[in-house]
Formats: sequence, structure tokens, C-alpha cells
Amino acid sequence: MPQDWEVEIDQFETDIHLKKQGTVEDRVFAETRLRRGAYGQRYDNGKRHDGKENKPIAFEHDWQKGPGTWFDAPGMLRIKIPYGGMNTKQMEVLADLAEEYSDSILHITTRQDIQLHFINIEDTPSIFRRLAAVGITTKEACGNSVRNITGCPMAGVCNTEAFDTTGYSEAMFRFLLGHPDAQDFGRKMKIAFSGCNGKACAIVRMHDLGFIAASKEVNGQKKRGFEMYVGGGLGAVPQQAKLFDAFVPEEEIMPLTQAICRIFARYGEKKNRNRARIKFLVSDWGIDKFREEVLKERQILKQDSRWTDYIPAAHAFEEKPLKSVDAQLKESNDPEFKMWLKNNVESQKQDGYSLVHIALPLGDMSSNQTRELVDVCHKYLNDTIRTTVEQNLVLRWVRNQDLNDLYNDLKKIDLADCFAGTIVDITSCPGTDTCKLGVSASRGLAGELRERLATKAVQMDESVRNLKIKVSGCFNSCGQHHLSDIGFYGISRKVGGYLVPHFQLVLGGQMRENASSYGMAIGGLPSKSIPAAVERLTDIYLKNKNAGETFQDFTKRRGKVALKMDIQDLTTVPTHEQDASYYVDWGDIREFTTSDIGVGECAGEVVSLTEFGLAAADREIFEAQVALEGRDFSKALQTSFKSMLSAAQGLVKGKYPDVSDNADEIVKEFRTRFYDTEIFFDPFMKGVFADHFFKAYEKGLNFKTEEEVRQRVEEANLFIDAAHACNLRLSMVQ
Amino acid sequence: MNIQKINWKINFKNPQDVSTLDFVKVFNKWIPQSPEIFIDVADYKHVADGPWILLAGYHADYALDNADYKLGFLMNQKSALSGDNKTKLKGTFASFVKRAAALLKDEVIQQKLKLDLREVEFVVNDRGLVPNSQESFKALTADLSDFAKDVLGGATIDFSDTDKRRRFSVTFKLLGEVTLDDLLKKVS
Repeated sequence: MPQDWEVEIDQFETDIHLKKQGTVEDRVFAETRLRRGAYGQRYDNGKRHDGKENKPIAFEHDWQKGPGTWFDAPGMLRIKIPYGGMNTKQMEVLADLAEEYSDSILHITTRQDIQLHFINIEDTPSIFRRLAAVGITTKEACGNSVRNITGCPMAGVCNTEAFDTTGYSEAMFRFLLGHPDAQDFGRKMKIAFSGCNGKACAIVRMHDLGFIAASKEVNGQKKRGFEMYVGGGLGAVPQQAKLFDAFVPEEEIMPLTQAICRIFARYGEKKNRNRARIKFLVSDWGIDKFREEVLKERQILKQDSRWTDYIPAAHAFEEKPLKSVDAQLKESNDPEFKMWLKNNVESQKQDGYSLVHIALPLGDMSSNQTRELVDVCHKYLNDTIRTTVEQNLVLRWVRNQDLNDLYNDLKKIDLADCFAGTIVDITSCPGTDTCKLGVSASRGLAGELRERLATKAVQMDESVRNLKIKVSGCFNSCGQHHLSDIGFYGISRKVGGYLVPHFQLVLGGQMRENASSYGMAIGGLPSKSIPAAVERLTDIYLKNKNAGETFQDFTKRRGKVALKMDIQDLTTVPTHEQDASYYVDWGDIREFTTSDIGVGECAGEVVSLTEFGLAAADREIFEAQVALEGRDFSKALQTSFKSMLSAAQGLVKGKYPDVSDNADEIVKEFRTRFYDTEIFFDPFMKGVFADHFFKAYEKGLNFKTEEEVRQRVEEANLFIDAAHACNLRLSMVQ
Repeated sequence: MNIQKINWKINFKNPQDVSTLDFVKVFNKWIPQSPEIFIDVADYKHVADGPWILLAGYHADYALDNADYKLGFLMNQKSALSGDNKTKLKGTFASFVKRAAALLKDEVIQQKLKLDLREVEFVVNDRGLVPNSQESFKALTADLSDFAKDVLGGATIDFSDTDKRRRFSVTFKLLGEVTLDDLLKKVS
């Protein structure tokens, strides 16, 4: 395990302990745990609607782990899988953790992460350590940070890519993880890498920042670079990313990204959470001004060897097949196998090898299935497995001659569904199942549609079978409904005094060409009418489409008014007395309500760099006291000084975010900005507490007596209290 | 050897009569009615080899479980247990059979389901504490044997799943005809 990961996990464990003692502010702890991937889950406000009324859940402790969020309430853990790349050892650990701490289900998200649900916050440090041991982190999987970097799952094996982007995604993930310039955002930042322009795989244009591989002749040499996009996003205000530069040379992608992070941190909205994504900054400024500011910022960045060190490795990155090709695919008359070949298997650019999609219903796979899949993988491939934004898995480097046997092995573990990427393979966010913001049951609807469509899929016309459906539980669009042929997002309507679960219908979006167009909202439909609406719309398309006309083109041609009329009768809701089933959502038995919607944590908490610094100081002084009690005087002294440095650095960062971790620089900046100006001065004690800090700095880690150490730890405590008081005075002035 | 995170599972004699919807209904009733801290019901019936309907709790989860393609009623104790292993085994099994009895008697189930009481599966859901090994089995044999005799009225203990990746588990194969009421009496 990398040492910094180990230290950070230990620190988080201390944070949990301090939270239980009540010494960490709720919102600071909330953002701290979010940045470790520990998210809230529905009903963590201690209330659950039973169909008639909100009833309290009698959690044992009255501690909170965020504003209005009970400490005892189980939560979700988001696990970063950069570009979806996983190996079998990691899969086994994920399977074990799902079993031991969650509910034996691994859920793949629309951004290639893996989520576990019903996790006790006190179990998270153990989980983190086991993940870290196999090279996985949850750091910055949630919160106002750079989230998982998504990447094309076909990278390296795709026929249409400019080059393999795997090494670039991996390097970008490592570069930005914990990067000081990516710690002070108003909200999250999502980044994606794609190998080509034409396919859907990494849906670059819906991302805050996106890279599409491109190459160019420069001085007779083929040069690698990227088309770079910025300011995309879905949610209530969907925006397509704007072209930042048609060709950014490979050595410039990291400095430009760093510059963008700094511009976003400095100028991005922080107070109004609904406008705190980078898309709003790009939109407010216009892409030209945004580009200009970023390029100016780029010029003043300190050179960093990491910008280019990774490039030789990125060029050299290569996966190897487990076995070499020595035969052809065997003929088969099994119709299901043929359907699987058609929908789930794609030829790689390497002769004789294929990429196999494993369609996971609702993105879920059990621990047992995961372990069994590991055994299957060992038979046919090296560690060449990736998750996809369609909540599936892909197995790469499967020999064509092995496809028959692989299919049979997958069938034995119920992972040979033959409709990957079709209308049956529906993408869905968690919705009301576990998300605090969900309005309607996206998974319930997706499950119902999947079941119904699967029975008809074989007979369907190919143009209908190849349509995509995506469902979100609310307008925040985690199900990416804007990008599908037929999309839905959860809403509610009141009918005769009752609430009725509905979904807004969105038609004609497009995943292809990296999410090149978003669908148009047609109108709300009762949840229970949606299967009929899907059948109706696909029938109308089939009967009225022109030869070769895509669903996008068809919906554009037919127009919003006509499409709305096509389903008008399905918008009617029978009275509660006539049919009470309309008032209950899919997959639920309780009467529908929106009263159990909680406060979402997607936006995280805006916690300043100063507050983070002070929280670190509190943790470190606690560790110093523990060391003191354990009579480890050297450690007590070292940690108490570190706590003073963290507090001072936190304050300095409020005025000068670029201050480094170097003690000399922190002391110098603190002296200039807070001591000489008397900003730090206590009204009564004046500069006494700051003097403790300067004294500790001068004396270093030498000590003569136990009494001296005790005194210096106590002085560190006083300095940290004074730093908190100073921050409070500053915030009141602001 | 300290055991924690105990799981108990008994399969259904008539799995063909199981309706997942019935379990959703029963578990939803348990949440507000029970003194135990239950939080929510999760539906995973689309996943073949795993939990189908899960009642997530604070101290313990209950599930209609199809792991290993065996459809049964499962309890997963999550919060830490105190006492010796004998106490933990008997205590968790008592909670489990009481819930099983409540389930079968529930008006939604209408007594149409029967548990196959010839076998009881025991799992320790913590690979760190109890690895799946012969050594663990040896260390726990005395406790498990006492439990088999005292609570189950006699049973052989089958430890045959030695895949190191899986959790430590044994199957108690009951020697005599036992009813749920018999088990309830033994643990009360």
C-alpha cells in the first residue's frame, strides 16, 4: 500500500473517533468522509415513510456524521475504478468486502465506479485498507473533488481509436489525486478520455473536462495529442462541452488541466450550489475568455516533472493475451449463442481476438458471481477487465476460438445475458432505492422494463432492439437519460390529493460521437404507464421511420407536439379508488411519497482550505496527546508541531492558496500575513499564542524533560484554539 | 477463536412456492413494527446467485437469499457480539429462528412456505477472524458440537467447502426430525 494512502486512512480513522467525541463540526466531517467516498444513503436522516407517515428509525446514538445525517445510518461507499480497469485480485477483494460489510452486491455506476451499500461508517477504515492493499482507493470518489476518471473500455483494442488512452487516464488519475490545486472547488469535476470521436464509449462531451485522442503530423513525425473539451454536464441544465483546443499535444494535457483546476477553484461559484459546476463558468465567460484565462494561468505554473514523466509508459502500455490464436471460432447453431455473438461480442483490432460485454442487470453482480467470474477470466484472459458507463463489464483479449466455451462458462454463472447494449440493457441510477435525492424508483422502472422487453427482444426488429433506454430517479441525471434514445427522469404529480410517481420522458438523445446531442423533454408520464408508452413509441418508430432513419432523426422529424400527442392518453391517471396501483411506484409496496427525500450530498459541503487545515490540526493534536499518554515523547513533540503547522498553513491558505507544505515557508508566510499584521493577535493575550508556534519551530524536536514535552503539547493546543478563534474573527468580518 | 458476524441460513423445502413480492411485503411490515432497528428493503431478484430480497438492519440483516442457488431464509448478524462462542451461537440462532417463525406465520405468507430443517447452514462473515481452513474448523469444533447437541438435538457437522476465498461455513445435518417449534423451545 502506498505510504501516503496508509497515513490518510489512519487519519480518517482518527477523524471518525473525534467525530464520536463531538470535536469535529458536522459539515467538516461530512465533506471529509465524502472525499473518502463515504456517501449518505436514503433514510440516513432517521426517518422512513411506511406508506402512511414518516416514522423515526430509532438509531442508538445521537451523533451525526453530517448535517442531519445519523452516524449509525448505513451509507454508500463509492470505490474509484479509474477508466474502469480492474484485475482479478481486485475483483476478489471487492467481492469479499461486499459480502463482509455490505449486502453481497457490487453495483457498477454510470461513471465506471463500484458502489457498495449499507456500509457502517466505522467499518470504512478496514475496507479502505483492504482496497488499498490491491491498489484501489476511494479517495475523492465523492465530494467537491476530481471524481473517477472515466475512459473508453475499448482503449487499446478498438478499431477506430487514434491510440490507446489507458496510460493517459491512469497518469491523470494519479496526478490529480490529492493535488493541492484540486482541493478548493465549489463542486465536483468529472473528466473523461476517449480513443476516438465516433463511438459512444467515454461520452466525453457530457463531462466537465474531456479528451479525445488525436494525432497530427509535426515536422514529419506523428505526434500524439488530444481534442480537448470543457464545460459539459447533465443535470437540470445540461450543456455540451465546448471545444477548448482541437489539438493539445500530450505533454500539455496535465499542465492545462492543472490550470483549469486553479481557474475553477478561483473563479467558480461556491455559494450557489446549483451554479457551482465548471459549465456555468464557461457559459458565463464564454469559451474564448475561459481559454484565455486558462492559458495565462498555464504560463505561471511551476514546472512539474509529472507532466511528462509518464509519457514513455503511456506509449509503451500494452496488454497481452493469455493465449495465442491457433484456430477459428467454432460454428454453432445455438440461437442464444448467436444472439450473444451479435450483441455482446466485438472484434478487436488485433486479429483473432474479441472483446466481450457482460450485461449486468441494473449494473448489479453478486459476490459469488464476481468470484466465479474471476475463475472464468483466469481461463481465458489476463487481467484485462473493465467496467463501462453502461454499468456492464467487458472482458478483453478473448480468443475468437474460445468464445463458445466462454459463453457456456458465463451461462453457468448467469452472466451470459445476450442483449448487451440493446433496449433490454437499461442504464439506471440508484434512484429512490438508496439515493437521498431520488423522486421516483428508477431501478424499479428499469427492472420492470427489462423484464418485459427481454421476453420480446428476440422477435424485435433490429432498429428497435438497438435503441437505448436510460433512467434517472431525478433531474440530476446520474442515469444519463439525456444521452439515450428513450430517457426518463423521476418527477411527481398530485392527482386528487394523492401524489403519483411520474417520469419525464426525454426522446432522441445520442451516446454516439461521445454524447454529441441531448434528448428533448416531451412530458410527464405516470410510472405505471411507461411500459405501454415504450411499446407505443417503438411501434410508431417502426411503422413510420424512413429507410435507415435513426431514432434521433425520426423524433426530430416527427416533432415534440406530435410525439406528445402520440402518448397523450397514457398521461391520464385513474382515481385512487379506480386503480390504487398508480399511486405505488415500481418495485415498492408503499403508497408513493416524496416526503422522505433527503438533502443530497452530491454537492458536498463547501469547506474552505482553512477549515480543512484546522480539522487536520485538531486530529494531529489529538494524536500528539495519545502519544504523550503512551509516553512516546518524540512522537508527541513531532505531531504537536505538525498540528501547529497545519493550523498555520490552513490560515495562510485562506489568503495564499499556493503555500507549500514546507515548514520554513509556512512559518514565514504566517509571520508576514498574520503576526506582523496582528490579525492573529488575541484581544487579551496579543501575540503570545503565535510565539508558541515560533518557539516550537525554532526549538525543533529536541527536548530535555518530559515536563517540557507536556508543556509544548499544551502550547500547541493553545495555538490551535487561537487559530480557530482567528478564523472565526475573519469569517465574521467577511 | 473469537467468532463474530454470524450468519444462519435454512433453505426452503418448497422454493417453487416462494414469491419475492411476499418478502417485500413482510419485510416492509417488520421495519416499523419491530423493536429491532431495521432501515430498508432492497430488491435484488435480478441477481441470480445472491440475496434476492434484503431487509437491511443496524444489528442484523435478514434476507430471502439465493446464494449458491439455494433459496432460503438468512440472517446476517452485523454488530459486535459479546460473550463466549457458545453464547454467541445460541443467541444469534435464537434471533434467527424467532424471525423465521414470524415469517412463516405472517398472513402474507399464509403458511405456504416450509423450511427444510434437515440442514442448517452456519457462516462466519469475517475472513480475518475466521479464515476458511481446517485449523479454524478444528478450533471451533467443540463449540459447534456443543451447539449441535444442545440446540439442534444432535447433528453432524459438515465442513466440506474448503475454498480459501470463501467464508468459513459448516452445515449442520440434523439427525432427527425437528420442527421450528422444537428449535424455538430449545433457544428460549
